[in-house]
Amino acid sequence: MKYLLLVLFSNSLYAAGSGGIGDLAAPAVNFAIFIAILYFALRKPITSHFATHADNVAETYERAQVKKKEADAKYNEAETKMNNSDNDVEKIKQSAEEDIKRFEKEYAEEVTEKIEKYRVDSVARIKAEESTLFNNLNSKLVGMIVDKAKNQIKSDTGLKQKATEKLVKEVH
Amino acid sequence: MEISLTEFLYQLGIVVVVFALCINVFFSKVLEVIRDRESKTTLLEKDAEKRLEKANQISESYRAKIDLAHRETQKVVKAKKEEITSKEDEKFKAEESKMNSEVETERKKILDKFKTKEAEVLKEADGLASDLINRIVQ
Repeated sequence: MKYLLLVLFSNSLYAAGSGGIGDLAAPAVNFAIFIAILYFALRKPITSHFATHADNVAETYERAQVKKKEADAKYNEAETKMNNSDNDVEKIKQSAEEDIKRFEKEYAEEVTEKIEKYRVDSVARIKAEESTLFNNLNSKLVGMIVDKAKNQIKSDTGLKQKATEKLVKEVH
Repeated sequence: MEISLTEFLYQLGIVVVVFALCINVFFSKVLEVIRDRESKTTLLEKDAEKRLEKANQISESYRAKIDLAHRETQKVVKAKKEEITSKEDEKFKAEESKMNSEVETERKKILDKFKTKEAEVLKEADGLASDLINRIVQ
């Protein structure tokens, strides 16, 4: 700017005649004044505008970078998962087979235990029935013998007297 | 103010030359910068969005595949477990029936034994009653 003004003013000094380059002096001054006004008036808003714009661009750039990095990571993760999906499916099938085997073993054990318990219960039940039956028979027999003896003693006076005497003797 | 055709053509030539120079020296650089900036910002963002969308699609496919595998295996497991349960229950029922039949046979044997014993005991009842009287009297 300084050099431009110098050139213009120096030309105006040496070519002051009409039709020469000196005629440009006044418009040059006007132009310089205009430029200076523009410079001082617009310097701050334009600087601020470009600074804001640069900040926005930088922010967008940063955001885009982060977004791209995240998207890449997610994509790679998804792709890895998808590539391993056959293995995962195989694992699910294996786990299911193990589950079936475990269930088969446990259920078979449970049923065997149930059968054994039923067998033990059956034996105990039949023993208890036998025991009750023979206990009842014994009681019946004892009752029958006592009744028969009582009846015989009651019906025979001699036996009755002897029994009484023995009892009295044992009491004394 | 009059402008002759020659002068106009000169001026036009100057404008064209200046314009061509601007394109080569200035505009192409600006365009390059703008394109570079666009590729690093908005285009990159769009690209990221597309990639994210693709990643989501892949994730969705993976989930669907795994879900399907789960459903199919669960179906197989359920059928297999039902088969095992049915087989083992039949085994238990067969054993139960066998044991019930054994219990019945045993019960019959016990009843026969009881009846024989009862008849024997009743036969001996008179003798035992006489023994008791003798013990009481003597």
